[in-house]
Amino acid sequence: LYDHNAGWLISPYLLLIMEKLGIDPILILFQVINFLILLYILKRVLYQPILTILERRRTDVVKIEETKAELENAKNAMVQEKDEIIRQARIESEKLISVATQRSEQFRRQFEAETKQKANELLEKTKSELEVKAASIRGEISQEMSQVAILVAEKALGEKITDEQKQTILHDAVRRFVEK
Amino acid sequence: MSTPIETLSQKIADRLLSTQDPDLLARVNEKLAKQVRNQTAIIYYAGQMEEKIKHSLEKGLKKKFPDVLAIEFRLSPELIAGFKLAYKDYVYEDTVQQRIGHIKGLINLRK
Repeated sequence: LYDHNAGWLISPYLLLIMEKLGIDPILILFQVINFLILLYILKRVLYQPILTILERRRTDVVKIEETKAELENAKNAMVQEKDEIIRQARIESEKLISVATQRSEQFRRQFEAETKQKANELLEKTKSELEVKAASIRGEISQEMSQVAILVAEKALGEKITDEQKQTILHDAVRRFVEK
Repeated sequence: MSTPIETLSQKIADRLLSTQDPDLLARVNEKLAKQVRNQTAIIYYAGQMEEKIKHSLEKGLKKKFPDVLAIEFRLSPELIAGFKLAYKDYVYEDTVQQRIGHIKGLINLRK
């Protein structure tokens, strides 16, 4: 246990204390060497593979994270696309509903107008027919009344004209015939 | 004293009778009767017709239609008053009924 600079590797006092305490420096040295050998072996056999595995796993985790991020991005893109498609579909459906509503409203108005026109035409026709019928009935009544009036007049004249008046009428008629 | 046409008619009649042919007599009679019917004027009248009016009417009729052989008067109360003359296809009417008919025609025409 020699030290070139100090002359001693370990101080003799320290050696004495260590001896008194039951500590063997040689043993400690060998133990240190053993420990270093063990450390080297462990590093070669155990730590390196574990570190490799850990590195691989870290790489895998990174890859998974990347994949996850990509998937997340794809998902977000799909969600956006879905939302866009839904939005477009909604706009399209609203347009279709609007067009259908407009058309149905237009059809309803047209149908109402046509129905109203037909009703008016029917009403006018019926009115006209009724007026014609009323005029015809009025004419028939007038004719009937005229006939009745004439019959009454004939009857009244036949009964009321005296023989003397008949003679006068006959005389005048003959005179007109002769003078003609 | 008879006229020449009467003398001629008498001779024709005697000649026809002398034939004693009933068919011939019937045919001649029918022909003469038909001729008389065709040349008979019929006068329809209402009320009483005095002889004076009758003569006046006959005179006027003969003047218009010299070929009239006979005039027949028929009472027709439905005429109410006046007279109606029918001779061949000629019809003359001057009656109250005709005037009422005229009014009736005007009423129907107005419609």
